[in-house]
Amino acid sequence: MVEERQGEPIHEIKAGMKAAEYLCDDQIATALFLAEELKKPILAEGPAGVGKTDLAKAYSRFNGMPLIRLQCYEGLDEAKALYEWNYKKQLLRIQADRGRKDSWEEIEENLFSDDFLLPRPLLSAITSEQQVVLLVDEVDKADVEFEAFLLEVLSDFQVSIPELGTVAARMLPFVVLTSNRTRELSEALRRRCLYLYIDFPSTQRELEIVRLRVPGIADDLAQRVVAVVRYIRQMDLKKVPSISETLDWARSIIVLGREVIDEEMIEGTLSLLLKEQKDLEKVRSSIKSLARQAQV
Amino acid sequence: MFIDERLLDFIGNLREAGMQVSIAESKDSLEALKVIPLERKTALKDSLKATLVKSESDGPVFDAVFDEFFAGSHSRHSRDDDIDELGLPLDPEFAYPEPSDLFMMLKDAVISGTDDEIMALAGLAAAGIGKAEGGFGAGGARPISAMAGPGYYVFRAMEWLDFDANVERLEREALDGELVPDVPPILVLEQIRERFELFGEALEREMRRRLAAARGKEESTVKRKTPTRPEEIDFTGATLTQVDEMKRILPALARRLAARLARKRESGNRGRVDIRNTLRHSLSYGGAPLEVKYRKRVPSKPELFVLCDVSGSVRTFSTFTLQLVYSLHQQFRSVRSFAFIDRVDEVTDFFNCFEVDEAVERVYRRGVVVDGDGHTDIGRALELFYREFHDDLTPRSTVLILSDARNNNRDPRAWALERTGEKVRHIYWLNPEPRERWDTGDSIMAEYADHCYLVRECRNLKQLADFVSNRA
Repeated sequence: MVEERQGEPIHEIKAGMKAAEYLCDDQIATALFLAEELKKPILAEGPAGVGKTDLAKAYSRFNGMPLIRLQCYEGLDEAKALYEWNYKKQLLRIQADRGRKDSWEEIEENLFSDDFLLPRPLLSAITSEQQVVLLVDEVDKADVEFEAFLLEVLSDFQVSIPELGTVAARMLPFVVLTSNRTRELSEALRRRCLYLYIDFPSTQRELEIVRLRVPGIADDLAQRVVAVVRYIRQMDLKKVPSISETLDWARSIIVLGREVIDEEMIEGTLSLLLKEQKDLEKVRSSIKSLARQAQV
Repeated sequence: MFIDERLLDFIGNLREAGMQVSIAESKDSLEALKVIPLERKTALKDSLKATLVKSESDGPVFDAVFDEFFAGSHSRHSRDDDIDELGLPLDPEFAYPEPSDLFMMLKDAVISGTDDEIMALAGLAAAGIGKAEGGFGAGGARPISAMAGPGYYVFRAMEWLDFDANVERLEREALDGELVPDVPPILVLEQIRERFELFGEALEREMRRRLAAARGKEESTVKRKTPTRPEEIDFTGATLTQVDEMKRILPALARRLAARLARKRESGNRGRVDIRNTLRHSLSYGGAPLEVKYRKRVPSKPELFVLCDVSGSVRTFSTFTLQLVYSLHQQFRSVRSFAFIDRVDEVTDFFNCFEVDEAVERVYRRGVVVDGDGHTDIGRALELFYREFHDDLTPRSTVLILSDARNNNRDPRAWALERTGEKVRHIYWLNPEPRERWDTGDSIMAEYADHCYLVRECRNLKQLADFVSNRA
């Protein structure tokens, strides 16, 4: 291809990511490159299961950086994200030291030291000796207050722990935030990040992904798998299978040693593709047409 | 310097087209341009997109403005200097293709060609239709094309290629397995659809480019479109995509409302002092009543009766409102729902068993709500409701009516509403039409309003949420 040249950074990123088993297009590679150069976080939005989390994982593999993951959920607060004091251990220490006549200053220094600090993902990312990939997964599940807190952390990458002082990052982490768009994220967060919208792949791309991620799969089996899944996606379901379900299904077919996709096989493995009872029922009633898609 | 100015102009165009771009983001885009290897043709677009586009819905707007602004300089297939001031190919020997030949080439490219080939064909198509129209400038072949935008030219090009008929034929061949044997038909079908879409987008880009060349770039053809947030989309006339967007935010909206209502309920009036409780509590303070305890007044939860018009125009509105009501069912002592078109059917059980969408479907299929020609007869429905259910109505009941009050010039029977109002606490009427349209045509809102406690315009989810949070 005319556009690709050796040594050209975007090309290198694409090649490196592919080696880490992630196919990325120009848009994604450019965003990764810019994130490195401009030292900005990446916000990846899109439907569930299209590879936003995998993007971070593959990037960390590609660059040999450890991955630190902060899984967001409703009710996630600073303490769970940043750090907590190990109260139990501190209490035990107080009990154990009970004979000694230390001054309060000495006790305080002992108790509030690194030994008793439980670093949570954000603090781990900040204090890491080497550069890490910080994955803040499903940030849309956390609430607006947490977003504001996250923004603060992402701006300075330093935290002040009252008893220990300010801790600043030695190496700025490479940050990837993901969102399944169950709610609109704040504008401030969007402004701070580089944006990527990752959608369901095209037919061609999905085939390539299957071939890459399920080594050893026969070409025509890959086609049949993708054909069936894409057919299911056209149905009116509560939760259509995403690319991660396609891969799970393909892998299970290999594991089961099957080469042909027939009604029986679909029936037996349908729960890998569909996770809602109503969807399963709906699709089960069309098993015949599904099996036909896998015939050529 | 030059690049900075161009970029700022471009950002100005983006803002004019309705996109929000902050100063911080402009700065980011300038920084990005400094580090991006610009030999890569798509690098400019990709890097600007990553720094300036922060939401999926802005994507198409960005693309359109970009294509127009940077016409030629980013395209890898043709540059500005290959087209003249009419937007036509400069080369006098240029071979204009016949539409049928062009489509054959397109078909081959779609099945087994590269993206580049498809885009080159889009260029050819644009050239072809340009010739037929006599250029893209003001001196077009037909008077209308002087004012026409890219959409017009795309439409003409599709006509010229007999696009729709040809594509339909190909799709049928694909499904029959004739187009590409040995590959599952559905894969072929999806693939050609995606590729044809690529062609369509490339075609639109080409038209913009030529129009820009012919008319001068100051005239932007990208219409300003203020992006509508899902909670501001009108129920009536919402497209399927918009309905999906609304469905997406509904659960979160319901959760916020439920939380807000629950808090309101808890922080209600304090009520009178509760002597016994205060004294009991004072024991822990050695007898001194340091903390005064109040008798908490719990406002009673209403029994809700929802009557919804499920005829075509109002259906989306009714569905969403029902969904919201059911999400908030804890705020009510009981919720009973009734659907009507010209007859009334209690549908409470449906909503207890099925998802709202499916429930509404089943209601239709039951065929009870419709007796005659399918046009709303609110008056009759109100009368039937009163007659059948008036025994269940108590002073603790709240009636919520969802309808546009368009009665098809039938008998209003407002008396039925009046009698209902006498038995219940309040009647609320939510109308999804804009207030200006009430009482126009066959709408008799005013007549029914006389017997309602409150009549509210409820055009979108935001207004619906406001109503619920203030009134529940």
